[in-house]
Amino acid sequence: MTRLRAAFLTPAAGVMFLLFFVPLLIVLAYSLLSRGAYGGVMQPWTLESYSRVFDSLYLEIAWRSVWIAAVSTFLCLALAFPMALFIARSTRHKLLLLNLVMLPFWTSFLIRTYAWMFLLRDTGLINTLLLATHILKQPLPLLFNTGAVILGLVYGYLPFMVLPLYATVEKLDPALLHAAADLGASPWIAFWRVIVPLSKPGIVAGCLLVFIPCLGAYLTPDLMGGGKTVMLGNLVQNQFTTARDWPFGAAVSLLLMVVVLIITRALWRHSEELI
Amino acid sequence: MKRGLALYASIVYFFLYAPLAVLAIFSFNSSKIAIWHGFTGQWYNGVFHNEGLLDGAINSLLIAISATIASTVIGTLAGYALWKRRTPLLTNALFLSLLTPEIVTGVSLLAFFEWTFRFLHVQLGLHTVILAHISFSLAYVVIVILARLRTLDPALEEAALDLGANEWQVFWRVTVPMLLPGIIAAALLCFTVSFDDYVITSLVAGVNSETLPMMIYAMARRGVSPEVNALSVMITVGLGVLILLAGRLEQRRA
Amino acid sequence: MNTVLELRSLTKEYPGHLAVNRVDLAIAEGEFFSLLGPSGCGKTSTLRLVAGFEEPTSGEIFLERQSLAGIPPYYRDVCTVFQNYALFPHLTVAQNVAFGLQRRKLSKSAISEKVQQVLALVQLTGKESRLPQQISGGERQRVALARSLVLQPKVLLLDEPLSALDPKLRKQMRHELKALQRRVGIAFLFVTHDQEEALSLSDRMAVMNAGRLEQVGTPRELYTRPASRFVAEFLGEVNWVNGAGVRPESVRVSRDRPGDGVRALQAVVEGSTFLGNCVHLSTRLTDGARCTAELPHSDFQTGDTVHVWWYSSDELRVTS
Repeated sequence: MTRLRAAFLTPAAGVMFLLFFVPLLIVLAYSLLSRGAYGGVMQPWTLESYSRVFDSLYLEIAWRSVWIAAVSTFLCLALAFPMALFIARSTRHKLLLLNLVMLPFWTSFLIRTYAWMFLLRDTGLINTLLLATHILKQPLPLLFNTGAVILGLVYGYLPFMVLPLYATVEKLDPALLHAAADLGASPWIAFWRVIVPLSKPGIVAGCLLVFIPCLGAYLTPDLMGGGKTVMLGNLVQNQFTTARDWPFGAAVSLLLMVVVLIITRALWRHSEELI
Repeated sequence: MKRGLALYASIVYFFLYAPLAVLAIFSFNSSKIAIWHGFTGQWYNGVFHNEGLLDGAINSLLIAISATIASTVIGTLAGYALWKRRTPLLTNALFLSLLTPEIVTGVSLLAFFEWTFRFLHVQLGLHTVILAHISFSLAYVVIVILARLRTLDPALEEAALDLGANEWQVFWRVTVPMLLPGIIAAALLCFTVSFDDYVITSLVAGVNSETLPMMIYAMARRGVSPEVNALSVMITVGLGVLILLAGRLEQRRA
Repeated sequence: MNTVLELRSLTKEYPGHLAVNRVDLAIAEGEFFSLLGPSGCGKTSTLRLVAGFEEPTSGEIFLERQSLAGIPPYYRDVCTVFQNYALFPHLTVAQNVAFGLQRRKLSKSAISEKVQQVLALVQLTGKESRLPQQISGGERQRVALARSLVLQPKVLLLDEPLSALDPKLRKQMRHELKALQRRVGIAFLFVTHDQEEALSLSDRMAVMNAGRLEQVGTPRELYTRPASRFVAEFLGEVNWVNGAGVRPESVRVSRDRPGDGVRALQAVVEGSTFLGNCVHLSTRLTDGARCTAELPHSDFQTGDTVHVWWYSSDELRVTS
């Protein structure tokens, strides 16, 4: 078996080594080099890129990324929990109801973002309607602000929250809820005292699955924030393209990775279940 | 309580689908602005006569199909091997690749390609995009394949070995046929992730390898365009159908 | 005796299935009442209707003469001990027991005092801070009892609470349960499919079949004077001879013809089964029917011709 297994593992190991591990190593190397005259990198080796991360300008971007991701995660949780309960408790069409939540996720993220832009622009549907009915004289600035970015993130990652929540809520023994009611707990109390504590693994997994991509989000702040709401993802992209400061971009990338890793390690112990 | 939940859920479903529905409706609007003017199919027609978009579509399909085939084969083999015995190194690498923010994957691949090409004298193009897509979609394939394998009874393989099949024959004659719905589901999933990707693609694409998402992105930045609406609706419906197919295959037990 | 719980024409219909069919029942204060029947007979459905987890299709439930119609489970003054106990896995023993008390706006000290009292009652002192998965099956069951009893409900509903225990423990818990019920004086409505449990525990009991109550009475009444064939057979073994039933322990066997004044029939011994404390002797009567006798000991051999006989006062006369 060992030889066949080795043969089967080799291509994947090769791909992961060459196209995942080595690129990260190069990013690490770049982050320790100096900026080249026309982009790219050059010697000497230096820690300067890392020290620049602590400029107040970049700390502000980091802080903004964290709180936008946190708010989006919280909103996802608030939206998803009742959904998960609803789907888990419905007697028929459970799978259909769940798939209806997941379906938009698997269609294009870009197009779903675009759909919101179509609604929220100054010349978008909502403003056009409000102007045409003379409710407003000036279009409302719905797009290109932090609120729009959060909306886009919540819309984009909601299914990531629903799925793990559903998985834990669905496994809850209904007798426990009956017992809670039997002992005098109203549905609201039963929710807080029984369902929420017992759904903790699902809550943690869901928050992680939403928080991590939100923290590193690039497309949503770029399109729906209109360049005003800059997050870490935009900072990285900017350094590699317009600003052409690869060492700094690399340093920010690595720090972002490290933060993601620390959060994951601290909260998630179920990676084995997935892969 | 139950009725309240149902009401809440319907609001969330509305939130999920309303933007897409509005987009679909206005893709048939004969006016260029967001006021209903009359029904037309001209924007759909326009998409099919826009050579730039068609080139983009061909690029996207080429990339998605190549990446899907490679990723599915590599991922299926790896999934099978991991099912037999865990390999923490590869498992952790795949898991890590899932967690890595797209933009970081993108810039690291960009840096990698720029660095290697200094020695190899090649340039960014479709091939770099395909390699990038194989890299980030591999974990998805392995997840789907492993989930499917875990529903199989290991006794079937033992029975085949017992009846004199060697390991390769067991894999090819017994496991792969049972795994086929999972493999197809993984491939469809891989295809949609690849076809949809913008962030990584835009970083590692060469001058002549613009993909459909890159074009949609460029047009979305410029403003509302009914052609983008029409194109988006077609892509959404296409991907939606693929995903429904994948879902059906995954639920069907061997 | 005052009636504490009354069911009037209680009916629960599921699509295509009548689970509970016009059940009338009155349970007295402090009574240990058992609902006995095969699985699917509607006994658990009846319990869930009383607890309020299901709404009846028609009929009414009265708790101390107050109708429970439309009152959700958390306002009903009844408590349930669930089949698998439904202990909250994230709460300790003490927290499980305190759960219901905390809903009643009691002071912290009052709660912990009551928890201590009831845990002492069920002999769980010292296990307060254990989690449900860290204690034995018998202890879990006592936590479930304590959790309900601490609220001093008007009626305690028990849904096959002993069925999850192994047989030896089950017998021991049976005695504890009865003693506990006597001490707290709360009416128990006990659902079981085990006739031995029902017979040994109940003050009164009912046998349920296909959604209906077949018969209600004391265990002795039901055992010795069953109203139907179903009740007679569900409560123990019966030989049916010429339309009359006779329990194996009433059947005597002798080689000689017995005297007058008893029912006697000729039979051939077909075999015997040694059961430790007694022997089951199976015989075949001349008309072909089988008749089993439970004897303290037996020296009959297979093929022996014998006389089986019993006193006619021991016969069960059922109407249906």
